[in-house]
Amino acid sequence: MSPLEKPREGTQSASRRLIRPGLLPTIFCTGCGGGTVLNCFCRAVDELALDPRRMVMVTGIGCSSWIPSPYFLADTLHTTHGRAIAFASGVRVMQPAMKVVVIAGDGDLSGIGGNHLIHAARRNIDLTVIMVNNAIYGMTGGQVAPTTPEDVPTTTTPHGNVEPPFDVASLVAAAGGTFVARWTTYHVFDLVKAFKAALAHKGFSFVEVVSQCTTSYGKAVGMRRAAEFLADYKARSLRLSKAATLSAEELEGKITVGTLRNVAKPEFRERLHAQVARVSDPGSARQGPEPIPPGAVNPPGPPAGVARGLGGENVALRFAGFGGQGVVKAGEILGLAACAEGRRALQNQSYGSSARGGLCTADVTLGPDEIFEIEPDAFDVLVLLSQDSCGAFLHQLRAGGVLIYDRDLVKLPEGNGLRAHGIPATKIAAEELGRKVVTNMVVLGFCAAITEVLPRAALERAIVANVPKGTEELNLRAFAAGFAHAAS
Amino acid sequence: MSARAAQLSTLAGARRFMLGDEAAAFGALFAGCSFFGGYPITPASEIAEAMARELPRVGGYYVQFEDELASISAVIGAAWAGARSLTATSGPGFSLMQESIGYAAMTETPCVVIDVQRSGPCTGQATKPAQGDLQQARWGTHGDHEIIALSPWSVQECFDLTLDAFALAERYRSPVILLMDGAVGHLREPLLFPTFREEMLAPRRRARPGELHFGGEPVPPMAQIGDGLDVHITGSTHRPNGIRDVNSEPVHDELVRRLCAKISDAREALTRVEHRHLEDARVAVVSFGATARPALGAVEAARRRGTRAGFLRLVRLWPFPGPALARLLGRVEKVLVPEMNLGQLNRELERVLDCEVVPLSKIGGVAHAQEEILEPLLEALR
Repeated sequence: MSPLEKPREGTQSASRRLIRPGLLPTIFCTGCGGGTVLNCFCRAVDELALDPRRMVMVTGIGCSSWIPSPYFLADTLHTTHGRAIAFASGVRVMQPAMKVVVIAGDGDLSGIGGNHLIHAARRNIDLTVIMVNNAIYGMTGGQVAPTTPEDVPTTTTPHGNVEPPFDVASLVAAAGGTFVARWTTYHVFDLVKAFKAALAHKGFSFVEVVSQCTTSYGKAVGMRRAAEFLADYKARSLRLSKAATLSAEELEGKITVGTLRNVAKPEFRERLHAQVARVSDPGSARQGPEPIPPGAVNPPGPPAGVARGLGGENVALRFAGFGGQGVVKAGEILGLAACAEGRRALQNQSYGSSARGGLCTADVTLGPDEIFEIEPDAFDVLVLLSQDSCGAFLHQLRAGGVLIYDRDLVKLPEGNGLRAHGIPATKIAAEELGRKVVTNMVVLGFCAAITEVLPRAALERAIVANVPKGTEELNLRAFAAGFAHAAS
Repeated sequence: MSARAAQLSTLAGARRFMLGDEAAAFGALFAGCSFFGGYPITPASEIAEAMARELPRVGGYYVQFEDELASISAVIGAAWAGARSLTATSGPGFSLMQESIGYAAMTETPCVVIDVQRSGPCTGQATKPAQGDLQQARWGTHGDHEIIALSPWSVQECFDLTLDAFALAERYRSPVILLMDGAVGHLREPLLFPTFREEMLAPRRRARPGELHFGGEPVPPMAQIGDGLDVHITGSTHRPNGIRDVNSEPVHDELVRRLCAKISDAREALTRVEHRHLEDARVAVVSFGATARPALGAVEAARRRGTRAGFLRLVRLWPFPGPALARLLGRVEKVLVPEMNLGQLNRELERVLDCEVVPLSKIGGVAHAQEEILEPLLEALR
């Protein structure tokens, strides 16, 4: 233990008690504002009588992230560059009882991590974020930051900065932060008060501390001593109330200080936890994945369709049409029924925009055997519901396979020699059932009757389980109409 | 009974027809997953959707973040605050997560990342499957590290291996990658649910006061945020007490060698391969994930023709099971490697096998058909 750290009975300052033993002196440059921020923060924690064991410090990468890491004596998560708020959000959700505090720099929070900053503010997640704004990337040696004033020469703007800086406190207030304040390292008493208010606030609280970097920024602007910076901050600072009376020109070069926003709004973590408590209550209604109809699971057996000369042990079917015809739903119900019957079953479908408008397919393989083809390209049964699908897929029908098509929508090539079964499915759905939307069930019924690929009762149970509540009867009638058409 | 046990016990023995993505989500629920941070992306969005629906019902928290950078970061933060945590993404998102996956490796954070691989590079064929992230899973983040990665080939295995992934993450205090592919993620097949038991929940070994939690043994116990141990967690080089020390060569050397060794030394224990007909095989087809399905079909078809074809698939990809493969494939003359990329597994096999290794790469977004593997297999057996 160095002499600096030797505890003196009765005279120990708040900072000394709240600092991890064995680490002083800090690595900060002479005159750095980081020490002032650490001191003011310790004072705020002490005055609020917060237990540091109930606090988590989360930081990013940069000099300012080293203010709490490793010095502040609490659980500390020193994260990747820019992501401190995101890491802190995960901690906050899982640790409702602890104070979660982010201390990081302007580059970390408003540059590389800017997206997390505005979204955390939008969520109003209960975090206290202290942004130490020294207007430069200090740790990497003085490169321009999103907060660097215009015209300042830095190592990466050697001819002067041609970008305007962010007003980060205003940005956070606009994004939804519910407590937002800005002070400078000159305003130490106001800083302690702001930190206390932020720590006591429920919701996203943000304190911007305009702070001196005597090394990198000092070099850029020709000020090497902390006292020069503090005098400058004193001279340029304006209370918000005073600033409100001035014009934009008069505010040029000024630092407006004070509390920009302090409102009460619903907090994210509380809302999320309340929702989870409600949903996980055993009394709440369960809506799981589509249930398999009870009692429908039988021992595996060969598909009945084999008897009708479908060939092979496994049967591959493709339903094809355009998006909106319910092609995917028909495939799902067939697969569900097979699964309930204890068959092996595999179903695949088209994804993306084509499934919602263009060419659309749903493939189902049923069988007693292991299914190896996960994306079959030859089918025992092909169901075509559009002329486009006929053009695209007719060649995929295996020799001796069964073709089913909508007679009104698909014109088959002449002299094709296919085992083709046509049905005016769309017309039956529209005219006999009054709802074109059940075309898929008419086709499924027809297909079931022609191929005998699965027992009728199994498919009917799967329909009931898989169509929207209240439409079961309509869908079953459509299935029956298709089934009956096969006999006509 | 916990909300989780109450919900999951209703599924005991149930057979459901579901997507691979959904099966993975349910595997996570059975493993005790209590936090999911995600961002939508095809073909992994169905995992997020299933978690958003089901996780709150077992008392867990789902948060959709502003991007994948935030998702993986929050997942790691949640893990340190006590969660069994998960994110799911696809290639582009997986690329964005790489820096923080390195953070998880460096800080020994147990968490699970599911990558449902799609066709790349870049946006590629966004809705089409691929297996092009095999090497990204291994080498995606910078610096020396080891990783554990698993690869399911069926909907059932999407469930089983997710359960496995959570247990391994805790056992080795490491991020674990479940490397699915779009073909398996978007497949519907029957899933048989096991009976939920508390032992399925991935157990976490916790540090007692005074114990080192970043060194002292290959896999140190974990001190969580909130345990009152003033834990200091950093992605920078750190001493066994967690305090940053970025200037000492021995500290870095000892830390990074231990992080690598805790996984590479367990290579044999971590090996999971499945094989058929290797006893007398002259030519073996070696594959993983969805591609292993038509690969096995081709081998079985070749066997029916009286040939000496063999099959092997890697259930766990990383750490690479080189010694086991060398033993199992030591007598074959030739290995064929179907995969949905331009030779990423092939490259590893060339490294560990003495026999001829022939790529059967296929890209373009369509899985291999059995015939596309059978033909070269029969040719090789001639």
